[in-house]
Amino acid sequence: MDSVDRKRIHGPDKSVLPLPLLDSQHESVTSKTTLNPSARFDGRTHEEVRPLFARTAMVSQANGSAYIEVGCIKIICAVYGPKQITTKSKSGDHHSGGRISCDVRLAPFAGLKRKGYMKDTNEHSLAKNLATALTPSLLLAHLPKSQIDIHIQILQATAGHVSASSTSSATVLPPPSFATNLSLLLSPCITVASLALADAGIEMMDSVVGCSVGLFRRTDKNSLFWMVDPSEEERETRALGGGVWVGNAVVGVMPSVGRISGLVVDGDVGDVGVLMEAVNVCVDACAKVHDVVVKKALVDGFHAASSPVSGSSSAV
Amino acid sequence: MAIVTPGERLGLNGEFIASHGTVEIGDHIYAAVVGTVTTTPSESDGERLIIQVVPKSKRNMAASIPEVSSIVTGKVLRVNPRMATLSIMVVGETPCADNFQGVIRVQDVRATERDKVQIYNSFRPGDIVRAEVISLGDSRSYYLSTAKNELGVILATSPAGATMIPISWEEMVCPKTKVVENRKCAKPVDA
Amino acid sequence: MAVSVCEREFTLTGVASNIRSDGRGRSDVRAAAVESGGISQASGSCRVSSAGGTTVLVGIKVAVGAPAVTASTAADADLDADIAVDNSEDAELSISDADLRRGRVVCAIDCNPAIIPTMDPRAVEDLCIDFSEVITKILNADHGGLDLQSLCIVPGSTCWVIHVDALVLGYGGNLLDTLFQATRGALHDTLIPKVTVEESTSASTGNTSYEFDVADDETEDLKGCENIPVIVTLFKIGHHHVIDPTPLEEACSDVQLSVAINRKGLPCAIQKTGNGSIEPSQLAEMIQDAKAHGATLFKDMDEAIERQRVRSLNDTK
Repeated sequence: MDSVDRKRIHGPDKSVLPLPLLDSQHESVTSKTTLNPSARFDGRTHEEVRPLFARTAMVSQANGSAYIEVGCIKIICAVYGPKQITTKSKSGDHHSGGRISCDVRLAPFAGLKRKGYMKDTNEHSLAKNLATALTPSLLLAHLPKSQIDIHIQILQATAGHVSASSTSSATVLPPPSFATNLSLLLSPCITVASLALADAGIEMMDSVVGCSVGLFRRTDKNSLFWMVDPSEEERETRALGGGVWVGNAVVGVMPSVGRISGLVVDGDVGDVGVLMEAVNVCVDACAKVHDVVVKKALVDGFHAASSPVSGSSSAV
Repeated sequence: MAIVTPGERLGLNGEFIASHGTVEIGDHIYAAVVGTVTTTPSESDGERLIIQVVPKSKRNMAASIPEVSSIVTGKVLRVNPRMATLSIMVVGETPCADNFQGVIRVQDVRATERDKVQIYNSFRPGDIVRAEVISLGDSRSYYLSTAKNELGVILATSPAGATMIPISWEEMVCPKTKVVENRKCAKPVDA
Repeated sequence: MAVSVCEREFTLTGVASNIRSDGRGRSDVRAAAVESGGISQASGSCRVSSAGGTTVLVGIKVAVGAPAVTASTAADADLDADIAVDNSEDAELSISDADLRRGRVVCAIDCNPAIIPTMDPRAVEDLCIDFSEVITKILNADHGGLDLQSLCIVPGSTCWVIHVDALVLGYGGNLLDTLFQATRGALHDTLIPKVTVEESTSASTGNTSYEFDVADDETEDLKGCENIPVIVTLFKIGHHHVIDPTPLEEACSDVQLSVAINRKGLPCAIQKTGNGSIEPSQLAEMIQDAKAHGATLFKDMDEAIERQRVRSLNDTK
């Protein structure tokens, strides 16, 4: 253990091209809609994700847990189980394998205004899409008659300064409803839940990393461009490049296997070409996040669990 | 020793035999949990090594889940003429995080003279029993069996509160009151 | 639904060789009958019955209500006070200016669990909730086609609320697509009463007050119906995908992709469900196929709706 260089990612002894998606063919496709780097408020390039912080083992009572911070979004996730399914099911499919149950809650103080404790449809659909994105990665066939409970608490969902920045922008645009923003909470939810599942030692094919992409329409020309991991500011206001928000896609990716486990698209996202371009860029971004953040958080969590010294963090 | 995370490629299917903590997808073997890779020579296959990923701490290990043919240890919760209900606490050597429910039906108590078995003369609530999982059972419980010599009651407490001592395959005696009670006793296993 | 290994193998092999158990190819749909206007009490209604046995009845009621999705729950006076208070705060969180100047659509789906005996009653209930959320989300969005601004009566306080209530009467697979077809048909059939709004500014306080009058006999069509997208759900079975599946094929599918296609033939909403994963290349292929099916579905729906319109005109004569 002592000779391990923890700053490096360990590749397998026998190396193969890690991701068939990273070939040059896609690079040439993406360059069509490339923006200049100054197109974003925070100086990111259009395919750069926000810095993110992740660590595991946050909740001592849970079998596994993780915490993630992306921009202003702060999410904590706890995983309990596997435990025996107690509810009686008529279908008798309990022999086929385990199941997962997801519960997503927005803290009452997560938004600008206090939110009631009543669970609303947004939280319900977040939980459903999260379960869809996570299930393909888990080897549930190994867990007959068992259930894994995934609890997600969104501690902060919006930045405090949104209204100020949106009024200062010259254009008057209807800000997208909170529901649109909620759908973009899905990507960090996916990442943090997969981290917590790995921390719980649940067997899985691959970690799942979530990534969102915002699609914008250029006002001068009738063409679309996209920005990976749009921040709240970019959603609420006209992009610096002169585009209007038209839709978004949230993708759940299993980076090592190179497969898509979750996909939610909303809005007039144009033709399949543009959409697939955006999705492929998400897949690339997820691979990067996985290599740099997820792996490190897991390895750090592993070291922390085996030594009394705690504290592990990572950031892009 | 390298630490691997889920989804990391460990090697080719032809080189290794995938074991715990790994998953085979196509020709490759991938890690399925966070842990360290260990390889051990296989007894049956001389060419290939058994590869597994070992989670280091108990915290990182998924709680054990009973499978068919695994030996479990549990506590008798209640008995009725048809079956004894157990709470499974240990699977093999690993404790369960969450208790699973299992039942020993009257016909699964012992291998011979099954028709003469009476549950109340085999198990009583509170007994600690070693049993084998014979099926995943219904939606509520696993089906267990004690139809082997080394399976059965391994610890029982008499009404007087003393730990009872097995005196035969079917009887246990209380060291305090010398009362003899019927049990399906397990043959002690050499540690 | 539990599927035996043989059944699964049979279905997979059939789909792989482009011939399904009922003789269709992978991209063939079953014939569906669309009848609208069957229910006189409803503002609009439509029944779609597919040859596969899926029958759906959608009734639409329009009512005067409050704008913005969450405000309505507070308006439902039958909730207890605590909850209502919570929800009104909830509403403030999500209301934006645009939401105040538009009407809204509320969708509910009811399905007797006995209609889908292969599924757990609770799973049927969950399915209905999921589908109603999908439909509500699409119809309330900008890309949903409906002209929601035209449903606004008094900005910020009063608007038309379109209640879409769907009833599943038979199940033979492909429920979501059929439900959305019926919803589309029913919205085409929907007539809303004409409303006249009078604005008056009181001289003393300077406040503007509105009075509106709902006409009893005059009605108008819902605006933007023709722009409502269609939903095409593709079911991935093995390495291929099919549309309009039978219940057995649905059970054998590991990935479902519901794609909403708008009149321009472009996707405007996509949702992946199911326990499997897909490769990006196959995803592109599936969306392409959905586009093609969407265009055909648009044509078929337009023809069916036109036939209904002609027939109802003849009836009134």
